[in-house]
Amino acid sequence: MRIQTAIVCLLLLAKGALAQPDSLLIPPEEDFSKYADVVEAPTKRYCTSKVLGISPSRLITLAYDFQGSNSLNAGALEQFSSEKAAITNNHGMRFSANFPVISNVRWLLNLGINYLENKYTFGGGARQHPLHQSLMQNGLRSYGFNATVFKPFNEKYFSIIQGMAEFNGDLSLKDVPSLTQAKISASFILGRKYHDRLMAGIGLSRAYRGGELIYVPVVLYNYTSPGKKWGIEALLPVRAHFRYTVNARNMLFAGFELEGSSYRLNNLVQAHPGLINRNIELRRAELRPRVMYDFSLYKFIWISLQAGYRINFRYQLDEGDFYRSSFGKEIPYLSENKLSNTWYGQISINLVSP
Amino acid sequence: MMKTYTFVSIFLFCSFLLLTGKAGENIPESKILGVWEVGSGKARVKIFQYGQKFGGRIVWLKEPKYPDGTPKIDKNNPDETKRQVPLLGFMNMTGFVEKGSGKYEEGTIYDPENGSTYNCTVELVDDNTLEVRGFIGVSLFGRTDTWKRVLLKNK
Repeated sequence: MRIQTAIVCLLLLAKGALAQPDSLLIPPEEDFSKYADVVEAPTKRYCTSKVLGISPSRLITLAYDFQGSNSLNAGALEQFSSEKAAITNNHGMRFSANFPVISNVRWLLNLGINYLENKYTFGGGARQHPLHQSLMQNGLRSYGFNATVFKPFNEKYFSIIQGMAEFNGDLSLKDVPSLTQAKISASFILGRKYHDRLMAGIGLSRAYRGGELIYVPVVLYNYTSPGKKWGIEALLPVRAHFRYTVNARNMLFAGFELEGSSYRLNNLVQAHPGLINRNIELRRAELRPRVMYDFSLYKFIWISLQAGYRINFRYQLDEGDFYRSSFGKEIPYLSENKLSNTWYGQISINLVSP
Repeated sequence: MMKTYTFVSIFLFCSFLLLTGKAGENIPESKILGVWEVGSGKARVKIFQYGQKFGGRIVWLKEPKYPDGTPKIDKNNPDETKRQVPLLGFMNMTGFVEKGSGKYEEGTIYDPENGSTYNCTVELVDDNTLEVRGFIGVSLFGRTDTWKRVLLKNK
């Protein structure tokens, strides 16, 4: 009876073995031409959020940003006269994580967090100006939370809604930022997917990227050439890059990114009780023309190397958070500063999306 | 003697059922079976059942040949020995187990565009729409593609 049972087991195992994928890896002798002549089953189609050949989405990023020496000429601030200081370097870690919490044919919800720090190392000599002292002791930090919704209406048209709350300031890691001082950004884009290699859209954004609150039109443009060797990835005026695809695991980029925000300087104010204005913010904005090389280190782990020039076009002290309309009367800054331009480099390790 | 005869009869009957698949005849055919066009429209995948699992094979490519006229091969495969395998007929989905409610899990999907293999789940949204989610480790780190069913004109 044991032998009989064993025979049945062997038969069952043989059946299982026949079902293993290894035996199916060899393509069947089949006339594949019949799969060319088809009709689509009736169903509603929706466009996707990407174009063919676009750089992979970054789920988790850990980066180190390093900038070369430059100088900061801090303007007069109340009883403090202007003071120029040499900055040996400016560096800091960056972290961001983006999770596609809901991702299906009808809509996509992406939630994210980000952390960014700027640590300043000044050259020798005592610094009297409050801005210099605050940057030396605290640097600048940002904590942000963001949500993005991609909503396709059909095969061609889609909308993107993005919202972000950021806490920026001369915060130490121990400081708990006040909710009332959050910088709220939002964007709305209506777009069209012309084909699998081109999507474009136009919209409006409330943003702090230029260092202070602005309302600005935005243009989305993602394109890949028919040969898939080059393309454009742009969200103007925030960023735009030409992309050259060496192969699926190596990509080169050239373009720019606009970076900045308005930073609440609470620690500066607390360290200088004599200051009359207790509501000071730093409007920081820089344009980063750059080149990047992104490559796959191992499967979904990508390294990004970038180098470029940092054009610091805004670094002013201002009072509180308000909208300085371009059409209104000229409102002077609290203190006019000049941060000189310099080169920078950044290396990041990324977990990318499939 | 009678006992042995009975066993041989049962054995032969079971063998017939197992090898011909007739035992499963009363089980309703899974709605996932058939030919599906991927979201980009660049390929069609035929999903079939093997044993208790489901897999998929590339049966059509929008651009089946390179500019020089040679058939496309799996040139991005991390295993160098497999880079000459033709993409047409390639089994790019394996190991899916039906979990009910139109969901199929525990499978993997291979992307010939970059030579990566992802964990994968698929779900029937309706009879003609399939959501295919490739992910890394946990489903949160992934991307969903929507496939549409196509019907052959000449079977």
